Amino acid sequence: MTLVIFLVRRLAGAALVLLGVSLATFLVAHTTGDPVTLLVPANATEAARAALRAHFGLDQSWPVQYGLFILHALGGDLGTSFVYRQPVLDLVLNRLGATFELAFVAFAIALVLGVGLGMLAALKRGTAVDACVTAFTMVGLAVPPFWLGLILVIVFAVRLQLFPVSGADTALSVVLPAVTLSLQSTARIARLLRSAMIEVLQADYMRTARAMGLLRSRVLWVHGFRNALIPLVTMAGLELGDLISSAVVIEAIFAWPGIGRLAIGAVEQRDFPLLQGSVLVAAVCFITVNLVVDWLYTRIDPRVVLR
Amino acid sequence: MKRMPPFGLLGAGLITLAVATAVLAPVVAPTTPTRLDLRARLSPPAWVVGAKPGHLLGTDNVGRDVLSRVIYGSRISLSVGAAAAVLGMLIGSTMGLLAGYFGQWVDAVISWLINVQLAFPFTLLAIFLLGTVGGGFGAVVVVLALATWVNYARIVRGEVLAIRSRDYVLAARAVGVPTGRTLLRYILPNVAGPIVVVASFSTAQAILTQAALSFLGVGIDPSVPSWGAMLNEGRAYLQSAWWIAVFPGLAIALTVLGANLLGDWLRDWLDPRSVA
Repeated sequence: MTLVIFLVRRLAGAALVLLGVSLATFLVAHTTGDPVTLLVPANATEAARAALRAHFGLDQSWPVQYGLFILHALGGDLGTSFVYRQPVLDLVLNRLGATFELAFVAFAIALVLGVGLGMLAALKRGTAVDACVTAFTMVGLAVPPFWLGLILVIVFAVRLQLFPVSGADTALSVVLPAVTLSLQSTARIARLLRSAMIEVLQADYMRTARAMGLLRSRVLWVHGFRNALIPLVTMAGLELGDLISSAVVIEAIFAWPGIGRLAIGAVEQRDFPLLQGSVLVAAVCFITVNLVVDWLYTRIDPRVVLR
Repeated sequence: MKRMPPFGLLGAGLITLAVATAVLAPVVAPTTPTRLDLRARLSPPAWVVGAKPGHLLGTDNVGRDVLSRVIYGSRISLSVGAAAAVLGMLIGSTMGLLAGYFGQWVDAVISWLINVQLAFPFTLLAIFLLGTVGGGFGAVVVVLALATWVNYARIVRGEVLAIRSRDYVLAARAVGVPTGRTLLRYILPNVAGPIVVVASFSTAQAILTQAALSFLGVGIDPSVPSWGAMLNEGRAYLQSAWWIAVFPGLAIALTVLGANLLGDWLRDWLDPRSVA
């Protein structure tokens, strides 16, 4: 029952947020220029322009256009792309898989590497190992990801020829973009886990667990790690959202066929419906991830009550 | 006052160096960033075989001095980063103060704005705005402030929630201090610490994002030397002339590292409970 109330409350909140996101995209799109000028030849007659505007519904007032967009969106219709002349939803869903693949591989790398490094640093606090991890995280946060991507391409794709330069044609294609994308998240997760574990390791329940003579690994993972999980899960949710957003730049470098590249193309060609659709779908992903995160809290920490 | 730890010192040193470079650019740069030395095009750095004299970090495809461009480029990165952090701070802190202090519907509206901003794929918004409105210093600063204001708003809101029912705030209200004065005189000074910490990280974030936008070809006019634009130009020559893109990248990394280290130190210094 609590789960139902929780879901209803959160879905209502999510709907409001999506309304805000769509309104912002709509306003920005419609106040920054006329797409029709880019779609027709420069010498097109005014009548031809007006006909095109009417065809796309751009001749109606903004509130009407926005209202119609929302109505159609509720029915799963995000409109038709000006440029591709195909339903936006199909275009976006076709590309979503590639972006998910990239984001999830990057997320997996960040989680495994970040948790591993953070744990290691916390356990070896004050040693050379700790200093190395700290140095790695500081450098990882400072290096521009797109710059790292370029260097990785030069070293591993051009010189060593271990991975393809770009595209998504082979199974190995995802490696370089995913590593590039994961760097900042890895560093942030390692930093967070290090400080969370240092705090946990000093807690009374850890001393008790050790005094009871439990296995070292059991003390560490069951009693220790579980208590460091809450901040980690909060952050992981935000990171996954951030990865989807950052993928835009990385997809551009590696010619990765995801929604980032689709959306950049939509921006360049002023393809409003396509842009609006990609932004909305990305926002839906972010919100869904964070809903799951909130539910995960209750699985990890029985004291947390869903509201 | 605690002594500054080595990492904090390093951060302060890097930021001082970056600011000094930007301010003294005409003095320290060997030449102007736009002078073309056509006979020394694509000259490698001075320590590499085949380097032409007079260009310590080499030249780009039209023979401009890379060192001079990196030095002048610091002006754009630092001024954009700082301006965006300050504008974001003004917007975000105000929002956070209002949401935390007034609660109720004010808090609901501002929290909604924060959630909308967080759910929005920011890079797309930035490319879209800058691609259509056009770049320029002001536009880039505003767009970056849109990205950073939530950082301040969330922290300030939380802090204000925690202190708005403290005795000194209640006392101020009880004796009839106007609301605006209560907020500015009694609450703001007590959240100033976290704001400064966020400002430091937000500057780093703004510098990185600005470089990414220039790299994608939107934002600051590419004829003005900036680190992001240099990376974009150097991209085509990565295999034959790596130095064009590598040095501005290093400059970005060192500046961002400095701002992050400074932020870490400020946070530890202001919060006696923090570990590490």
